[in-house]
Amino acid sequence: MKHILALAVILLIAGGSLYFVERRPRHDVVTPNAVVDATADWERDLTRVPADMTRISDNEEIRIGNELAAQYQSATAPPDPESQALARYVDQIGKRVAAQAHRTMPWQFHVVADPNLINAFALPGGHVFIGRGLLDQMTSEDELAFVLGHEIEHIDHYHAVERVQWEAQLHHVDLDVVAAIVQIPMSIWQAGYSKDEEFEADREGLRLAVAVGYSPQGALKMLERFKRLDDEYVLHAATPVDELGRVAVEGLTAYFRSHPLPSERLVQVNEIIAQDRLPADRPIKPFHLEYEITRNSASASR
Amino acid sequence: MDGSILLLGLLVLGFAVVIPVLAIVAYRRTGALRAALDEQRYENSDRISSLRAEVVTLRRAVDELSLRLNANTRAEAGEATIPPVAEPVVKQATPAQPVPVPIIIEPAPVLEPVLPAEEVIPATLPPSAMPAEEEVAAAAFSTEPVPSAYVAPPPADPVVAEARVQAEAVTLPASEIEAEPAIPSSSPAWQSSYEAPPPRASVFSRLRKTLPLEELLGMNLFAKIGIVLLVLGFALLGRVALVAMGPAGKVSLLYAAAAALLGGGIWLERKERYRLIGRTGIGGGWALLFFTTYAMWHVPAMRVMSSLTANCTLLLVVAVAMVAHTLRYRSQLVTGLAFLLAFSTVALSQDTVYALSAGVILAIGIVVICLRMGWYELEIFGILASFGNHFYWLYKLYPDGVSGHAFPQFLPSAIILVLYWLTFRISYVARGIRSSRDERISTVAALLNPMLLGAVMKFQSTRPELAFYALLGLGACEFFFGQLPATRRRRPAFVVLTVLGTILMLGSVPFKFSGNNIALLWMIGAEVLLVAGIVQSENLFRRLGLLAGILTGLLVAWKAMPILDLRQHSEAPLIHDGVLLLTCSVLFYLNAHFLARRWSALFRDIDAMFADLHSYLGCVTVFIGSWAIFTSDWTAVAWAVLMLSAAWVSRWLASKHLVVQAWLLAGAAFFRVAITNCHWTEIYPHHIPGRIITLPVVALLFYLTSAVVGSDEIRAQLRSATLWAGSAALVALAWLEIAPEWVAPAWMALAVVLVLARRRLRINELAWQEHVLAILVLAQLIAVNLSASDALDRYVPIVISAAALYAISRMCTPADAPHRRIAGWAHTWIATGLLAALAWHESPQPWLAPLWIGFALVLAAVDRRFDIEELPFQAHVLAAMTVGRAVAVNLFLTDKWHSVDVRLLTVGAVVAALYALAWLVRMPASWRGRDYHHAYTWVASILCAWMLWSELQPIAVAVGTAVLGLLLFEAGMMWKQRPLRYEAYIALTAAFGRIFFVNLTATKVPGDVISPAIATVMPLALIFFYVWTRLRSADESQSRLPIRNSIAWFGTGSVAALLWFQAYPEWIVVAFAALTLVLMLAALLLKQRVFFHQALALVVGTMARGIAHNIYDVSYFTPQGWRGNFGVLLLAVALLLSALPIAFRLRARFATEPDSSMLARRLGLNYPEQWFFFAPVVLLAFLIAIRMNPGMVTLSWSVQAVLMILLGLGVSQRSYRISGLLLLVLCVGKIVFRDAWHLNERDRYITFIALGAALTLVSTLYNRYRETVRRLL
Repeated sequence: MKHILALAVILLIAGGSLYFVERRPRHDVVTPNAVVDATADWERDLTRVPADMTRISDNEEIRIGNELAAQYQSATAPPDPESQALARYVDQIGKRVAAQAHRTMPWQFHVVADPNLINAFALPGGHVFIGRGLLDQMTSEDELAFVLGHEIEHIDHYHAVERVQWEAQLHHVDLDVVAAIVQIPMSIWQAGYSKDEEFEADREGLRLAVAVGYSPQGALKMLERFKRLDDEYVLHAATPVDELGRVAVEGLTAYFRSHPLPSERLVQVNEIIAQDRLPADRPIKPFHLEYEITRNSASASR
Repeated sequence: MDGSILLLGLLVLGFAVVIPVLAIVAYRRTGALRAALDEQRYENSDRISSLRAEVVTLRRAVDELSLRLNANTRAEAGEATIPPVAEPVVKQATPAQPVPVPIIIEPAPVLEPVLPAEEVIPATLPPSAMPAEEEVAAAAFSTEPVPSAYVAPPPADPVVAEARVQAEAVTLPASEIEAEPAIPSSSPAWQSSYEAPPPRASVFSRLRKTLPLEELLGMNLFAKIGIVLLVLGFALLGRVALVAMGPAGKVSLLYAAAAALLGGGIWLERKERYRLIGRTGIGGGWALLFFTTYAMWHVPAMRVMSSLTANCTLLLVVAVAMVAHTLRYRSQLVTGLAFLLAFSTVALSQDTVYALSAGVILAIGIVVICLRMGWYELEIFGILASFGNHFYWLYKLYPDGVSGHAFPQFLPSAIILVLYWLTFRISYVARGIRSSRDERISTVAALLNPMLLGAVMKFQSTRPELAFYALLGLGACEFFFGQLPATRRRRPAFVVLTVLGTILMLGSVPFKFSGNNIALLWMIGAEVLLVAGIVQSENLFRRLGLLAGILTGLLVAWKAMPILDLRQHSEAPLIHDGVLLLTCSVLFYLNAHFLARRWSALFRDIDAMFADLHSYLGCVTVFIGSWAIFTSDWTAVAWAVLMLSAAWVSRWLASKHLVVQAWLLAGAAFFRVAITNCHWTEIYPHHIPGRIITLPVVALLFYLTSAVVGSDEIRAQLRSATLWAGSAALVALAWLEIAPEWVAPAWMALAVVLVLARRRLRINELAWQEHVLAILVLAQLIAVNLSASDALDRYVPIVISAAALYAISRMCTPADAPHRRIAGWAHTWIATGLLAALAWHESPQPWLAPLWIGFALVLAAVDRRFDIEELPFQAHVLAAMTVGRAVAVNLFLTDKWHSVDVRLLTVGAVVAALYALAWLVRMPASWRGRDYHHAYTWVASILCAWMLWSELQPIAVAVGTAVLGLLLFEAGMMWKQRPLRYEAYIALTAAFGRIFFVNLTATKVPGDVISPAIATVMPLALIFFYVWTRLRSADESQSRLPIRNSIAWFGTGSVAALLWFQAYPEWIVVAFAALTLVLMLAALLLKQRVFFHQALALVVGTMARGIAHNIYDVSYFTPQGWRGNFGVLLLAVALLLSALPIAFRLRARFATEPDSSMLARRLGLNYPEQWFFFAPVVLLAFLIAIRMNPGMVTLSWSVQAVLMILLGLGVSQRSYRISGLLLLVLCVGKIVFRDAWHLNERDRYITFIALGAALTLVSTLYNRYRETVRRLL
């Protein structure tokens, strides 16, 4: 009899739970993020130990970064005058932000004149690349400063160099040989880092940007735009089998591209703004006039 | 000293000079010896070749002897008695032994005397040569003694025998020389145990033996070819070259050359080694001599004679001399070569037709030689050469043939050709044949002769109208030669000439007559020959007559082909042709079925086969004839009548061929009905009178045929086929004349009639026809009625047909039919399928699945009432279709019905019906015993879960699935149904997995009072633990330990995962540690080891997480809140250590109830206190090492070590103490090797002091409690 009572209580609780979640307005997305995040978290934790123990010197990191950057630049088309002007503008902002970083590196900022590249990435040794597609998504200099600060912190906090170390160990690459270094594919830099590292880069990058006078609203606007873009690509499965297959595929891809969800990043930025009492009301700086002109002319020509 | 040196020098010099000299001498002697050996080897090879040739000679002699002996035996016809086999051999073989037999073998008694000869032969003959057994066997037939194994017995006719031997000795290929007869394996002599089996020859050596190409070319063919070329060269020399030289000179020169060749050949022929070349030279010399003589008149450049007669006389003399001389050598080679060259030279230089008279002379010569020597191969050559020469002459005159143009030499040419033919034909008739081989060769010559004559005559033909007379005359002559007494004594010659004559006479007819006259004349000839064959009892005439009749029949059929073409576009009756063909058919049938039956003794074997062919020709002619007379729809009727007649007569005469003809006629009639009578091209509706009349008539004729044909084995199939054909005609009539929507009911009615007729008449084929009709009904209903526009045309025919099928399903086959069950099943399956298809076609889309599953329920219920065994299977299939339908359609519906989801209604109905079917549907007991009926519950549960997935929010699916699992679990427990519990476990597992993909990452939205993750995962954990509790309290049959433990793991896993995702990352270690403590308490209080295992896993996780995340994974530059904070980690360590007392209590319990599995022993699961001590200790040590100020690390470690030792002393754990001591040792080492050199002053001395204190303290403690420690050790 007791178990009938217990069963009734449990069914009541379960029914309440169902009622609670059914009346919620949100349609939660079925993703493998929980598993992937946990796995990536463990992977980073476990790889951090040997990376910390076998850290290479800054000079070595700069040499490797220069070789990787040269390889990437040789693989892309030479920049036109407009892109060169953009690069100068980005370099100016980037160096201003990077001045606040912990490490002293020969910072160099490059613009990839590919309108389809909505991404930015950092190489070891101080090289930051930003795609023309991502620049087109921005509306203020604060957003650019946040993105550059984010990438700077990937270098500043040894994320990039640890990735090099890890790839070298994984694929038996001799980092003393130039020909071996260039075998490391560029895609691994574009794929991003672990969830923790991304959070760390967001957090520290925001602080860098704010430290040189930019508004934290730039970070919020940028991440909200990412969130909108991400929501546009959310599809809902038609059958449980379809959902299983989609989750499996997403799980595989998400494992290798383990950026946290924009919504999670947005939550963290809001928390940091509140926690560090960052000047959220600081006015947003528009893009430099020269850059605006350049961008508009480029858009008109396309 | 000097003397010694001098002596040594002399020795060296001596060696230096003498040794080369000796070497040179030895080399030369070796070379000489090698040359001698080579010469000896060559000589041995020659001897072996000679021996082989002699062996072949002996074998030929033995063959000839055997042949003669057999001939004599047949001639004397019983007067001569064959002596016993063994006796003469024994008497003759024994003195032939050249050496005494050293070993006596004990053979079988009958062959015992033969053995000494067998023993001798291998010792005296070349190894690869003579087969002793053959020789002995040949000797056994001989009435004369065999003198020796080497000496051939003298033949009775030395001329013939020697000639054969000489000829074949030269031309025999080496392969024949080497050939040996097969030795019977049962021969006791050959199987003597004292003889080793002959060594197996290698592939190369065997190839070399079987293909002695080098020997063949070098020793044989090249010599012949050389002489041929020489002679031809001389001939050309004389004819076209040496322009300056006069004819006499040329003739003299050629005569000299011929004499040289002839003389040289004669001289060389005497030497055994050059005998072959010599004989070739003789042949060439004679040929050149003949040519030169011939050229003295016929070749202008060499003409020295003015009289053709004289030249011909001289030629004749030369030919006679040539024949006489060449025969002296009794060599077919020599003679043949002479004639070849003679013919060739004549061919080269013939200018007038009279030059061909030399060919006649040569032909006569050859014939004479053939008849004298029996070289019938030479006659073939003669025939070819004679006609070939003549053709060559004609060809030079008219390269494209005479082609009807008269030419002056026609008559002499024709006469010469006829002379050729006559010469060789007389030779063929007059010869005496000694062996079957000679007969075969003669037959070839006999056939070649008229063939070549005809071919050359055709080439030179100027008046084709005379061909009839020529062929008729030639055929008559050949036929006449065939009837001569001399010919009739040789059956093959009689046959050849009679057949040749008949063919030529019959073949002559088309050259003068045409059309039906040919058939008439041939038919007359055929009947004459047939009657003659019957009257004279001569097979050859009879068969020739039958063959001529067949030929005539084929001709008639061929001539009737236009009728078939005409019938493609015209149906006009052809009375005249039809009557003629019917008359022919009467003759053929009379030959086949009257004559052959009247004189049945004469019509056997091939005669009977020819008579049967006449019968078939009669069938063909009557078939075409009836087609010529009866047209349009009535053709099929006529053929059907013929079929009926053939079937009836076949039964009367017991003729299987008439059965076959009835088959063919039935096929033709059926085909005609299908093509013509049905009028496919006419558009419905039309009601064609011809069809309405003829189709039932044809059907009746088919049915009558089946009634009269009989039912024995050979006719049963025809009977069955005609039955089928009759029904098919009625089916076609119904299909063509009834409206399409009502064809199926009509067919169904016919099927019912067939079923009733089968029961009445007991004709089982009707049952099969009913089956086919049922299939046709099905196809028609699907193809036509389902898509009919009128609802009445859809519903009524299908329902009527289904009802009829259900009604006759149990009586559609004989009671004892092996397929009775299958047929009954098929009928109800079709009926059910039709109704299901009707439902599919008529019902609204969402409601088809409930309709089908309802039908399945009805079938299951009917089966339970009436016990119809196939209905449950139909219910299964309907249920499967329903499930497929629901999965494909209903689960994706979004429509509403009175504000309720149609998906929910329809799938819910299906799910309910499936659960009901699981209970209702009847199954064999063994199936139910294996829980096969739970397939329905499995599917129902899956559909239910799927529906939950579709209807609920993603975050609620896990809870819904878990509730479903809980209900299934309770149902399974209540009704003690294990499959239901398994379904529950699957549902619970799915719910657990689901939370990792949506619930745990769900975020709060404004308005949420509680995290949706907590709100959904905690009920899940409650469900898991409730199920686990129920399983724990259930009896063993309902509770399996792995499942129970898994459910417990799900519960704890849900909580742990919730903690992982809900707690701050830095505090996860604390949360895990706290959960570990709870789990240890649960393990202690509930006495369940599974919770201890879970706690252990969490301890490991806490330690790893603490080290990797909280200690190592911190920022290099900035503090990160609680991450790496001592407080968090120390709290986790404290929580873990607080579980240590519980661990000790568990250890005490495990000591009495240890886990004896290998994994438990390896991991030390029976010692929980070790895990709960070392995990926090390691975590703390790492915390100190990484996060502590480097100067304080050693100090902190030393404190930790002291505490560990104290704890070890307190709880009497040696491992604790030892680990503490080791940590102290590590501290000492660290101080020595690192701290002493790298620490700053302050940290250095603090570390030294603290560590010293710690060490002192520990030492003190150990000394203090020395006895205790010793006791604990």
